[in-house]
Amino acid sequence: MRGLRRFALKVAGVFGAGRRDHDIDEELTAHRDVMEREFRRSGMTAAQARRAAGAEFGSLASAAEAYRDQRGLPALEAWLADGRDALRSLRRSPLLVLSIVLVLGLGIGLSTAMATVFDAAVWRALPVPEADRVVKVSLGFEGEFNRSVRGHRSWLSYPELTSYRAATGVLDGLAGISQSLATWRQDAGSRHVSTALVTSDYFRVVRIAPALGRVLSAEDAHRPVAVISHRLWVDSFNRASDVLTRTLVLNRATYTVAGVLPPGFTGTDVTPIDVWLPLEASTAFGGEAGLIAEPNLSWLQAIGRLRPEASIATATAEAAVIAGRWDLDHQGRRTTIGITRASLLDAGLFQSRDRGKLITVGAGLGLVAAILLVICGSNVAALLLARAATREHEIALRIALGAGRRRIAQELVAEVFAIAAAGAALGVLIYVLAIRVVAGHLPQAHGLLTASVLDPRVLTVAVVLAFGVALVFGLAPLRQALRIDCLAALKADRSVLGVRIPAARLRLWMAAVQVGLSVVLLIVASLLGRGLDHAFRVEPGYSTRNTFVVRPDLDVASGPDALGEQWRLVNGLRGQLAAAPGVVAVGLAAVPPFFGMGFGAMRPDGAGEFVQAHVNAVDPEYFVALGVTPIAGRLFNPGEASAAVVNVSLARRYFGDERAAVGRSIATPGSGSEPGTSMTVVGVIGPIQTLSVGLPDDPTYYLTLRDAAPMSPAPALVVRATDATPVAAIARDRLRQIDNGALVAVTSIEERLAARTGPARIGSAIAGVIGLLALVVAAVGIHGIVAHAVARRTRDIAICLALGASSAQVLRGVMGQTLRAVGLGALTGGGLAVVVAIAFSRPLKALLFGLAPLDPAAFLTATAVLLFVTLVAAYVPARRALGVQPADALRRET
Amino acid sequence: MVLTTLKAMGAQHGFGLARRIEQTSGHRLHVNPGTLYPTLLKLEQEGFITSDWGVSDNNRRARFYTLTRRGHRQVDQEIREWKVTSDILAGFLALGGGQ
Repeated sequence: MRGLRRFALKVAGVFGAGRRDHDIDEELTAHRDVMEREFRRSGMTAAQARRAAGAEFGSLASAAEAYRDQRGLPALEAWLADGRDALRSLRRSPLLVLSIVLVLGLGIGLSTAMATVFDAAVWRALPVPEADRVVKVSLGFEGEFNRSVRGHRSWLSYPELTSYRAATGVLDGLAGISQSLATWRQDAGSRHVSTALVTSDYFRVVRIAPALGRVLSAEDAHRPVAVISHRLWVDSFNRASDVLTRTLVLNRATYTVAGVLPPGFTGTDVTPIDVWLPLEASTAFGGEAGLIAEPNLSWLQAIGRLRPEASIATATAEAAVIAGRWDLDHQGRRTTIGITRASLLDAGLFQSRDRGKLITVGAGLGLVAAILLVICGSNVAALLLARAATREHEIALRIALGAGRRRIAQELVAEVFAIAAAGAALGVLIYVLAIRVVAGHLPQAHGLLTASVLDPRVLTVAVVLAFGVALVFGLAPLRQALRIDCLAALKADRSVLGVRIPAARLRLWMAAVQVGLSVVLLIVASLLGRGLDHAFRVEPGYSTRNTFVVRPDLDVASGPDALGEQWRLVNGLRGQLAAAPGVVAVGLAAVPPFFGMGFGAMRPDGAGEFVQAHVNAVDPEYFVALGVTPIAGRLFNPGEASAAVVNVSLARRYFGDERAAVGRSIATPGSGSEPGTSMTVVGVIGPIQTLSVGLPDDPTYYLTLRDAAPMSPAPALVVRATDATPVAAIARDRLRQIDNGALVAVTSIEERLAARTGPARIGSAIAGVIGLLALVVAAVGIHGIVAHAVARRTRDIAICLALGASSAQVLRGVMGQTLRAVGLGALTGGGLAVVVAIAFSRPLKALLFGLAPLDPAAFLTATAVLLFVTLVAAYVPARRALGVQPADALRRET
Repeated sequence: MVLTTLKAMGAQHGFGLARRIEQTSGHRLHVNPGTLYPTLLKLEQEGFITSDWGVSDNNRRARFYTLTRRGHRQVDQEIREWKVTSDILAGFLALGGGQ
C-alpha cells in the first residue's frame, strides 16, 4: 500500500517538474546560505565562509539531482526527454519526415482497407447466429454430361437437393435458394421487389427468428405465404400493425404476409432480399413447377448447417460418398461436391468467378499491400540511415564524452516511434477515407464495409503494422549508428568523404527497391488501363450499335399452360415491335448477348465421345438483328428444325475447316427419358463475342428455338433499330397494349458490353490509383533522399563551386547517384513485373480483353513515367545545390 | 533519526534538522544535504511527515517539516522495536564482556 502511494507520487512527480525544480533549488540554496552565515558568525570573512559552506555542503547540483531521482521515475523521465529530443531532431528535416509519415500512412491505410474489403468480400461470414457452422454446397462436373444452367454451374437441381438432404448425416438442414426479381402489382402501379424462393428449412439453417408473425415452416411449402424484410415493412407498409393480414400480388400470384424478419437480416447474398417465398409453392404459381422435377438443372444455391459434432472435413468426406452414389446413375459423369464455409458475397458479387480465381485475386491484393509496406519500410530505413549519417559526428562526440550506446539507441528508437505513431494515425485516417470511397462504388457491400470502419481489430492492425515496419526497417540503420568508430568519425573530414560507403550503398539499395516496386504497380495499372482501352476497340463481330435486348417480365398467370402464355406474350410483343417505326429487325434468343451462355454436351458426327460446347437457341431473325452473315453455308430458314449453325472455332476443331462443316451433323445427348437430337450443320459464322470480350471464341453451336428443349423458358428479344429510335419507350408502350401492368427491361448491347468490362475498370482504377500513389510516394521519397544528400553535401558543393566547377558538373555529380539507383530499380522492377505478369497471367487475361500480359507499350509507358517523375523529384532539390553561396556554406556547421 | 528529531523539536527546516542531528550525535555524525533532502522527500512520500513553506528565524523563506500522526505512530513503534533490539544486543554484548 505504502509502495503504491509512493509510486503514484513518483509518477505525479514526473510532471510539473519545472516548478518543483525551482523549489528544491531554493531550499538547497537557503540551506547553504544559513550554513555560510553560521561560519561568518564564528569569525570567518565572507569569502572564507562561502568557501567553507561550499566545502561542507558539497555540490548543489548533485544534491538536487539526488532529490529529483527520489521524486520521480528517472527511466520515464528519460523516455519523455527522448521523445522531446526526437521531435526536435525530426523537425530539423521536415520534408523527409513528412514524406515518411505520408508513405507509412498510405501503406498502412491502403493495405488495411484492402484487407477489410477482401475480408468483407470473401471471408465475411453470413449475418446469422453461429455463422461459422453454415456451409455452402456446390457442384462440379467432369466427363460426359448434359446440364442446363440458370444462374451458376455449381448450383444444384431440386432432386439433387432433396437427395443430398436425405443422404446427409452431418448437415442439420440443407436449404435451396433461388433469387429473382418479382413484379409486385399494386393499385398504384407495378414495381420490382427482390425475392428469394427458399425451401422450408431455410430459416432453420440460418436460425433467424421473426420480428413479427412467423417464418416459413415445412407446412408452408405449398401455401401462398410470404415473409418480408423489416425494410419492406417500414418503407412499403409504413410499419402497419395489421401487416400479417395483408397480401402481396407477386407475379400475379397472391401471397399472404406470414411474418416480418428482424431489421438486420437481408438474406444470405449481397443483394438484399425483401420477400422470401416458399420455393415449391411459388414455382407452381409461376407455371414453373417443372423446374422442381428437372434433375439436370443448376438453379438452386444450397446452404446447410453443420451438426455440432461435424466439421467441414467430415462434410467433405460425406459429400464425396454422395457424389459417387449420384454418378452411378450417370454413366461417364464425374461429380465433385464442394463444401465451403458460406460467406455473404461469394454467391453474388463474384458469382461468375470460381473460388480459386478469387484466391488469386486475393493473393494479388496481398502482393500489392506487401509492396506498399515494403516501400514504406524502405523509406523509413532511408530516413534513419540519412539521419544516422548526418548525426554520425554528433553521436561519435557523445559516445566519446561517455554517453552510453544504449542511451543513444533509445533516442534513435524514440525517433522511430514518433514516426510510427504519426504514420499509424495517418494510416487510420486514410483507411477510413478509402473504405468510404470503396463503399461508395460498391453499393451492395456498403453496409458490410462501413460496419467495420474503426473496428478495434483494424486499429490494432494499423498500429502493429506501423511499429512493425518502423522497427524492422529501423534496426539496420540503428546498428550502423551504433557501430560508429568514434576516433574515425571525429577525425574524418566528413565534408569530403560524405557518407561512409556501406551507408551510401544501403541507401542506394533502398531507393532502388522503392523505385522497382513502384514500377511493378505502375506496370500493372498501365496494363489494365490498356486492356480496357483494348476492350472498347475489340470488334465483337456484329453490330452493337442501336441493338437492344428486350426482356418482358414473364409473370404471366399461373397454371399448366403458363409457359405457353409466356411464349404468346413474347411472340405478341415481337409482332408489335417488328411493326413499330424505326425497328429494323427483331430476333429471339434463349440467351441474348452478354447475358451468359448455355453450356452443353454435343457429339460431332464421326466422333465417339460427347464434348462440351457453348450452345444457344435462336430464331432466324436473331442473326439478322445482330447483322451476322455466314462465312460458309447459310443461316436458319424460317420454320426450320433439326438444323444447327456453328461458329468457326467449332467447325475448325471438329470438322477440319468451315467449308467441310456444312452438311455434317452434330448430336446432343438425351436427358432422362428424352432421346437426344441430331442436327445438320447448315452454316458457319465467324467469331462473335457474346459471352466475354477479347477472349478467343469457344466452340459454339446454335440450334433453332424449335429444337430447344420444350422446358426452356420463353426467349428474350433482340431488337435492332435505326438511330434515335426510343426502343425502350416503344417496348413499354406495346407491352402495355398486350398486358397492362407487366414490366419490361430494355438494355442496349453497348451497356451490357460496358458492364462486362466493369471488373476490369474497377481493377484498373484500383491499380491505377495505387500505382499513382506509389509513384507519388517514390517521388517524395527520392526527393527527400536527394534533398537530404544535397543539404548534407552543401559544403562539398560549395567547395566545388568555389574551385570553379560548372553548374552542370555539380548537377551531374549530385544526380548521378540518384540516376544509378533509379535506373537499377527500374530494371529490377521491370523484371519483377514480367515475373508477376507471367505468374498472374491467367486472372490477368480475363481483365485484359485479349491484350498480351507482356504488352511492351504498357511496360515502356509505366517505366518512362516513373523515370520522368523520379528525375524531376531528384532535379528539384539538386537545383537548390547550385544556389549555394560558397562563403555561407563554408561558414555553416553542417 | 530524522523522525525522532522532528518529534522532539516540532516543526523544523532542513538546515535546523541537520544541525540538530549533528549536535545530538556529539558531532560524530555529519549530515550531507544530498542525503538529507531525498530522505525527507521519501518520508513525505510515505506519509510520515508533511512540509510547508514558512519563514525561518532569520526571515528567509524555508520549508518546514512536521511529523504527521502516522509519523508519530511510526516513531513510537520504531523506538519500541529498537529498544527490543538494543536490549537483545546489550545482553549479547554483556555476555562477550564477561569472557
